[in-house]
Amino acid sequence: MLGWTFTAWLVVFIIPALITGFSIVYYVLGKNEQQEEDES
Amino acid sequence: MDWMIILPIVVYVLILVGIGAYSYKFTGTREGFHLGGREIGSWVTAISYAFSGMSAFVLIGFVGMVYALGPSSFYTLIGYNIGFAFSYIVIAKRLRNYSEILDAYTYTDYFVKRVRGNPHLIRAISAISILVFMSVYVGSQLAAGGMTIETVFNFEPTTAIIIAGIVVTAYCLFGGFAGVSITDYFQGIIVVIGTAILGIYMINYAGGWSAVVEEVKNQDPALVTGGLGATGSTLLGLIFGYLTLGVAIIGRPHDTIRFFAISSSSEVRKSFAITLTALTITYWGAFLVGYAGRVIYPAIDNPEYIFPMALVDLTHPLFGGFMIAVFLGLLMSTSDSQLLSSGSTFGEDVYRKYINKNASDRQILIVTRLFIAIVGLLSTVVAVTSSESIFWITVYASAGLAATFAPVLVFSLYWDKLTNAGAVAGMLSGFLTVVLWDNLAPDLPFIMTEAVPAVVISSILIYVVSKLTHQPEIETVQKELKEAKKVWKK
Repeated sequence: MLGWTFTAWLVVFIIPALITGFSIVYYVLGKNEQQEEDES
Repeated sequence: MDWMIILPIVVYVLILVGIGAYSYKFTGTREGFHLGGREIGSWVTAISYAFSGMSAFVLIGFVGMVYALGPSSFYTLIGYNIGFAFSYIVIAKRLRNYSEILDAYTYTDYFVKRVRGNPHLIRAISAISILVFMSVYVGSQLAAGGMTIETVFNFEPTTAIIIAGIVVTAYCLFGGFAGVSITDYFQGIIVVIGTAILGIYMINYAGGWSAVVEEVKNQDPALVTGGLGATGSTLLGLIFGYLTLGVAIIGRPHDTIRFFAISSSSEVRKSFAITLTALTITYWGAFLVGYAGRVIYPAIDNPEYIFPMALVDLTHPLFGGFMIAVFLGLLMSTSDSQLLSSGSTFGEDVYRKYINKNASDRQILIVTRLFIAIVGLLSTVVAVTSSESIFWITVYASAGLAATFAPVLVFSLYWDKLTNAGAVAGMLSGFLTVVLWDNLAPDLPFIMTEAVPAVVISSILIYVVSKLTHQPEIETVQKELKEAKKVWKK
């Protein structure tokens, strides 16, 4: 794959992107919970 | 032309002065000086938290690691990101709330009020750890800045370091916490954009992605793999060693204090997402710089100098000036946070508690600022005279701070039975383990950061000693812990 092994892509792009993606999902889910808490 | 390099730096410094003058209005009260009135938003918290911890490592140390290790260098970022995730998910919200419940302005103040009991030992261990490790830490930052300025401009190194020391110290004296946070935010944004631009530019300069990968593979086939070509236990050891660097960023006073000041506990999750996004983009940019540098400078003596050399050799002077401003910003964002942390510790936890118990807020602020100036001066002296490796000093200082504070911090936010004696045992053992282990097992940092054994030993002692002693106000603590779990708005 473009000269790199799969593990290289995994370490440099896929895992960091997944962790960052998790932080964004965590924020979005928390936002919904927060709105529900505010409304109640 | 020189003016094309100087222009963006001058504009940058003028903007910094403007931010400092603006933020001075927050510094009239203790809460204002130390915590920006607890009105710092999620964006400023996130960016300043990320870059007050990352120091000059990204553009100097990490670029050098990429050059030497290729994709395997990224285990470092994965370790850091896990450390940041732990800090945000486990620590941030509860600490923000609990610090306000206890009316705590400084890190030490928080621990003393939280555990109830004789505060002298906690104050002493905390102050010694902060003052020792922070002075060295700031010194290493100033030394890194001086070395780079020297390389880029052929300045005399001592002059470069002294200028860096004066600018950082003066800024911290007048701006206080709000100034530091807002400046970190501003600098962090520049770092994210500037590093990404430089990385893409260098890959293109070196002939594009395919050409770079092909050339790197010709130099060393292991540098297109994710484990330096290692397998089995060797690979696991490599991964483990770099991932443990994430432990050493948890609970450090100069960046964790950001959580005290965030305007609302509900902003914490947003800060988390912004911090990780900004850091990941920056590391990707730095990776491209180091990887392309392998092709552009195949025979460089010290790969940590790729960043300044590329600016001098490859880029337009205007862009070079912009990126030097980026580097100065990165350097300052770590140093000013550390100076403020040291100043707050002395003013609030030593002077007010032991030297002048009847001191007014105004006197405390004067003493805090005076101490910031003294530590700034000492750090400059350390920077001018030190010959140690900046990378390892930074890792060592970071591990010492994390080991002293992280375990007791986590226990304080979740366990009602934590006692004063347990906290003292944990802080002292964490601090001493880093200091002693480094002498007894000098190769340990190459296997894993000293913070790992220190955190384990500290946690065990906190639990055992707390079990053997008694928390006198356990019912109050239980109520506070319940309150700290709630969403809190300023």
